[in-house]
Amino acid sequence: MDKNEIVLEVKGLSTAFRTEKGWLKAVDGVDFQVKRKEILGIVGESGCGKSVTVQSIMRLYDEKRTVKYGGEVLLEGQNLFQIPFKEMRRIRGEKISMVFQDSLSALNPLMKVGPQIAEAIYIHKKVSEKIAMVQAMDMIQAVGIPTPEKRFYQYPHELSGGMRQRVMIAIALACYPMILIADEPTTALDVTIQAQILELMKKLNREMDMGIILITHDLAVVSQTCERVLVMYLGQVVEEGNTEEVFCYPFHPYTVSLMESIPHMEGERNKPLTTIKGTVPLLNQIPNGCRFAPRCPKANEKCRKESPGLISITKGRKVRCWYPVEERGERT
Amino acid sequence: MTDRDRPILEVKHIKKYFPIRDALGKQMETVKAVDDVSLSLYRGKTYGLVGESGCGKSTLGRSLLRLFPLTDGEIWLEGKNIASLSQKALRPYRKKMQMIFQDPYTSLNPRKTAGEILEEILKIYGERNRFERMEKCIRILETVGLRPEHYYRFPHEFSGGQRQRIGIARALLVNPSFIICDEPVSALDVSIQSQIINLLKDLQRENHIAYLFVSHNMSVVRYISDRVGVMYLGHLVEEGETDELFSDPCHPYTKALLSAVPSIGGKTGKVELKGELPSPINPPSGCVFHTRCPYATAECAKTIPEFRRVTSSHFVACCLYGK
Amino acid sequence: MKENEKFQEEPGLDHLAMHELKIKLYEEHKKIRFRRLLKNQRMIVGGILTLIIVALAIAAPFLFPEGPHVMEVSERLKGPSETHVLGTDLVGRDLLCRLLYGARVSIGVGAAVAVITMAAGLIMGLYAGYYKTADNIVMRVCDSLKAIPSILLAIALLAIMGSGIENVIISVSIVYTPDVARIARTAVLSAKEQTYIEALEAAGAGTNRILWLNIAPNIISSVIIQVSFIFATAIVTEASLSFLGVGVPVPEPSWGNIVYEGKTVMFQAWWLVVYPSLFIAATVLGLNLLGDGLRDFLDPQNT
Repeated sequence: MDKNEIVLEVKGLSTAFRTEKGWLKAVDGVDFQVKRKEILGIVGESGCGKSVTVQSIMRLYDEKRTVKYGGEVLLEGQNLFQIPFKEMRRIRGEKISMVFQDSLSALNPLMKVGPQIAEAIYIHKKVSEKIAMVQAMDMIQAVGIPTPEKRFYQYPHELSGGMRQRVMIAIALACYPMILIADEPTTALDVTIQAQILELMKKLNREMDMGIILITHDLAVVSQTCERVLVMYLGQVVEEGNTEEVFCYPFHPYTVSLMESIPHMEGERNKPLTTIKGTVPLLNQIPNGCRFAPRCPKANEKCRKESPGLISITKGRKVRCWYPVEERGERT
Repeated sequence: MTDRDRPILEVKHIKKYFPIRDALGKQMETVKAVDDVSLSLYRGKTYGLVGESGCGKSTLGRSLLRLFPLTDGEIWLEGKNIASLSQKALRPYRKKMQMIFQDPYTSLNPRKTAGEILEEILKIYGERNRFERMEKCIRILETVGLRPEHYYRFPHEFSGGQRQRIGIARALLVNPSFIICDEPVSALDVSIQSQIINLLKDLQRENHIAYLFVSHNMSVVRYISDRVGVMYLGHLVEEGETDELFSDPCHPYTKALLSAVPSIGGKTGKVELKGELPSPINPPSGCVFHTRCPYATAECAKTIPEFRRVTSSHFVACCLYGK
Repeated sequence: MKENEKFQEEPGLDHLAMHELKIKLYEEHKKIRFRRLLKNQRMIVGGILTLIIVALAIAAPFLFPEGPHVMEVSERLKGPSETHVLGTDLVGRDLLCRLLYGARVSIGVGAAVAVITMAAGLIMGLYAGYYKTADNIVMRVCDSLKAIPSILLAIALLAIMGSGIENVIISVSIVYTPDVARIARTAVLSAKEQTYIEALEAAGAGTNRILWLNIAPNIISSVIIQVSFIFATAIVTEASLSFLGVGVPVPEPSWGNIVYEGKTVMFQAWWLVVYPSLFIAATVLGLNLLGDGLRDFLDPQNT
């Protein structure tokens, strides 16, 4: 099997929600691909549409009334927006599955964790309950839970946050999906536990044949886990590329400001942090021209009037800016 | 010793145990949330307190404010031990100590306007003149970077960062000598986080407030603190000047913690901690960290480590240090 | 943004400018509040409906100065006509007249019960929710009161105290206070866990300030909803009690005893049941709308 085969392709995805103020586009024209055995990171602040993007891929919103999708989501060439909803339900969990941030509310509090994993298996694969249980036990060992025999018959609240997140991953992986979507999987965890979970995800990504989409607001997490990264702002991808390159030579002023606004573990700590002025605008107040222009330190008239497209700069690097940053070699 | 060098707040051997009772009210077990911690806050300086969730850092912060009775220990504020004062006798001292909370969404009363929330504090401290109160509040709103017309806005009309600014304004209103900051930026977005950190630093420079900055975010603590304490399971395991502690961590836990912090461009550290925080109900004997420590010996399970001196301002509680 | 810059330019506003600013802000605030009130249609409709009925009840002695007891036996069981707009009852009394006088009794009982249960329930709920010891005592008392069917409890209480409007009010209030207390307590339990309460404790706020000025406004909306139901239920309960002969003594009209009297001749004189029921329904509807609207109005997040 080709490692670089594209499993999931998203083309011009847009998601609009119906609100009192009319239809609001939370995601506007997002394109990306996920290769087999790749970890793709999506970063951005809250409200940038990163969660909406993946939940649209899963078609998790009420399509009858509140949401309108646009574009295509191709899973192995099959457009997920065109298949019947019933079919989609089968694909969720079997081919694409998801890990959420809040593991306590995502697990059924009245069911022991082992049977919960088993349930995920026999919903999708027509196997007997017994076989499902055996496979669930394998799964619980695969995600590195110590004393699995004991943990198997415990309730979610008896486990620690890190353990629960492992159980969530076990459930998501129960059917060996092609794509695993992890929505802020480590945000609620401590750094030492976060390191363990990220290590586990990297290991599973290597061993199992699956692409991972990791959504987070933490640039450092992306930097250490992902091969490629998308930076999102207000429903659009503003920068895309190989993680190392993006963080060494960011092109978009937003990426630059984000990186400069977090304190680092090394270096100078007496000068004030760079801030991005203002806040992320609401969806009904999307500015004309470049969406980042009102907060951008370098914006000029052109930026405020005309909106830039996502242009390729070098191989695999794309940026949505009229004046990409070009200070190469300043950072290491 | 000049006035400037004397600590504003001195905490000595503070302990906070929570009893766990059964249905009949009989005490079953004790949770040792904070166990024998001492530290000092200095004028205009920031003391950063780091540790994983459940290590007792938030409980320690709240203990200093006497939000609940202490089990043991002394808290010296302005030459007075406030640890044993009654709530009533504590009132005048409350003005000196304020707190900023983590969650800007629950820390403001949703039924009150920003102005009412701020004025409430002044009312508590007996400011009777309505116009004076309003004027003070409007000025403080400007100090924290909000506008006067925000006075009549309700919390839900603000963004997370703006709410946190109101939280900061509330703490600043009565000119405290120290503020406990309980994870003040961890609920905020990256770009807003830096605004708030800068604001806190500016305010400190102008008003010479001491901060106790409680956080699990190492890089933020490193950035803002002058001195850092690392907590594990209710104990302070290492303490030192920020640069010293971050460049030369001596306790195995501090080392593990620092290596686990992801950084842009860096690679994941090697010393990864196995397992998770043990329950504080029955903490391990001897050194509390020995169950997860990669270097633990038989001695660690027996002896409770004393604070040892690394340099004149750097201390570590580890039996193995120097051996 | 522009204004922000302006204020940053002149950090020390002089006294006069500050005074003008305060006035300007306050005026604006009042305007916004008034606009919110106008937008709240439920509250306006409910308020108008309730007001009309209350006004009619107050106006009864002016519209019918002869009182509700005038009988014209020849005119008994006559349908709605010009002389008797809503018809007459079994002994030839004007129905509209009796309904308006009855409104005084029914709404009076309902309003009194609503006020008493709200006050008592709020006090009990606040302290029970805030103090654990109070919780055990108050909630056990409430439990035992709720264990007895409400109408039986009311009858038992009236049997002890004797009938009469005041005693009806007292006994019905005792029956419904636990409902309010329970709802208030539950709301307090979740409200007191919020960080802003801790912030007040850290600032040294007294218990009364925390309970009455900070927790109470946050739980009042759920209490108001319950109380608006109780208002309506109290009118009906009073009617049942009157019917059973322990409530308001019979010649005195109340909506309840008018319906019960009319029930026997329902098939010859439909108006004796339909009109009083309509009055009850209109009042209940008005009150519930008013309650809903009030809840929305008190919640600043509802714009």
